[in-house]
Amino acid sequence: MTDSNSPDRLKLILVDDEAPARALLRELLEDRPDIEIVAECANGFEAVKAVADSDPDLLLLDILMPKLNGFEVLELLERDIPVIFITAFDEHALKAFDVHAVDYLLKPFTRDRLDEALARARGRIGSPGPSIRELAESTDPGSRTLERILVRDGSDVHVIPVDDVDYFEADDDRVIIHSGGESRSKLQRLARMEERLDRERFVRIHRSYILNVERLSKIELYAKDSRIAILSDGAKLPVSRSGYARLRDLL
Amino acid sequence: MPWIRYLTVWLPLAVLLAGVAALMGGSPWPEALALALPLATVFAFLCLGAGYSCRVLPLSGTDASRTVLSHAATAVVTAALWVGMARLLGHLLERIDLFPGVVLRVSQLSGSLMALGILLYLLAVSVHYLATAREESRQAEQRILQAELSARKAELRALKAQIDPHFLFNSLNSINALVGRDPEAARQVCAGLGDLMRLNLQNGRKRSIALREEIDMVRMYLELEKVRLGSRLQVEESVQPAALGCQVPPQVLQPLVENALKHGIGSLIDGGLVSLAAQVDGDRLTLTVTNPVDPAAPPRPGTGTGLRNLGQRLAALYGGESRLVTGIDGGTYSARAILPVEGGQDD
Repeated sequence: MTDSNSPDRLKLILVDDEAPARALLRELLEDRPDIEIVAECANGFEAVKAVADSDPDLLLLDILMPKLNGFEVLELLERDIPVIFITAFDEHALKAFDVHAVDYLLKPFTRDRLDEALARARGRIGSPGPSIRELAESTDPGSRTLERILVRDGSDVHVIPVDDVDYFEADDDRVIIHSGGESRSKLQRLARMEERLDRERFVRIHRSYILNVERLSKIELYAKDSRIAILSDGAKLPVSRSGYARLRDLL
Repeated sequence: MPWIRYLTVWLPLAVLLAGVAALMGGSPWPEALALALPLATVFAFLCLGAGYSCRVLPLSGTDASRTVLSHAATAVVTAALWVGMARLLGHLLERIDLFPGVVLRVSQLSGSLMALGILLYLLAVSVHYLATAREESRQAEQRILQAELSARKAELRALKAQIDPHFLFNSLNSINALVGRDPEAARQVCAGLGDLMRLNLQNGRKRSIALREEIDMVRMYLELEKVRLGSRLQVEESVQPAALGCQVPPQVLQPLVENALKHGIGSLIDGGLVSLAAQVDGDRLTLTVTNPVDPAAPPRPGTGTGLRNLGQRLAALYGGESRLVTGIDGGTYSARAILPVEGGQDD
């Protein structure tokens, strides 16, 4: 055995909701002195927490899991960690893997195949790869219309149904999600958020705001060519000229 | 006898001919009939030639002018032949002294007979082409129906849901996981998978199986999934003994259970209880599977295909007599297949 504090040791987190699958990975990885399993997680929430707590070098990540799927876990990490996906069968994801992921393992896999993936991951560490957000966004199986928004707060994960959102506010390269008087920040651009929202329910009323039209109470003229939207909870948002046009088109 | 029916068709011609002979040729009615009946019969046989020439000259594939010319020529020859026979008949009747002056009257009629002969022959040709076209379109229709039927059969075969391929990959992975730590358990999974696949192949070929057999397969399936899901998967059965003998299409319960595991148990961190129930109520058999669900589960690919296939299969097999009902009540999802009772339910 090498010294467990060897700088070459890869800190790894393995995430799979099935106990036998985790046991197999553990068994195969235990023989490798260059790998240290810092956490084993059975679902996405645990994975997000474990990454925040133990700062791993590599993730072995199952895709179909309860609560959060593998893509959603990636989306929440907000930092680049090399990922090896593990899945039984998902044609949809495979295409994206070919483009972006460090590697992927198809269940069932052999020890050699796992070793190969780890070698590839080791080569990737430290070198700039595709951004993890790019990866998450390009492979998300739910990229049709967004129904729930995932926000991480430290090691806690919040799931906000889009129906509960009052409005989105741009904040540099982040989005602030306002819902029921609470606001949470997420690393994502407002334009990207807008692309994934249902256009019948959400309107970009301003460069910095997307409004849930069901929350709109009234629109007041503020100055020439400038209006403000008043929401049912009393909040006031600026409405640009083009935003007003879009709003009028929808209503 | 077909030839009698064929000749009956020509009876109106005999009447027409008699009318022509009596009214235009001035023959007394007995003479007109004596001329008309044999001539109509002869014409009936001459017109069989029309059928032959129609087959030789099908409407499609030959050029129209050639077809028209050939039929016109044949019509003229046939009509001339017919007129010749009429004259011969006239001479015969004159000879036996039955109708004096008949030869003259027939020869006066020759022009009209010639025209009538040509017209009728061409009419026979048209009727023949019409009949051929109708027969062809009937055959085409039959071919279409046949094609539709075989397409439907193919569809049914395709819908006869195989076990979900995900399950195969997952089971192989279970074996992969067990083979190092617990070889004996790995062997059991291999054997169980083999048994289930064999049974699935056997039963899949049948139109229907006893519910007892379907439940056996589902139990084997659940045993294998328990290896993977561990304590997350709990199962409860409530099957009426009377339901066990009912005949059901193979793979009727399996998709309901697969659905419960995939979208219910699989989406819950702690899993839960899957309940199977089978109940006979009069002439209806109800199969129910309920499971807990996470209402805020992440999106999963392939949602609902298994159940949709089952719904289509049931509709194809039983039409309106079957139903597939699904619904969520609180955190519990239920899928219910209702089908007509078939076969003995006595045990």
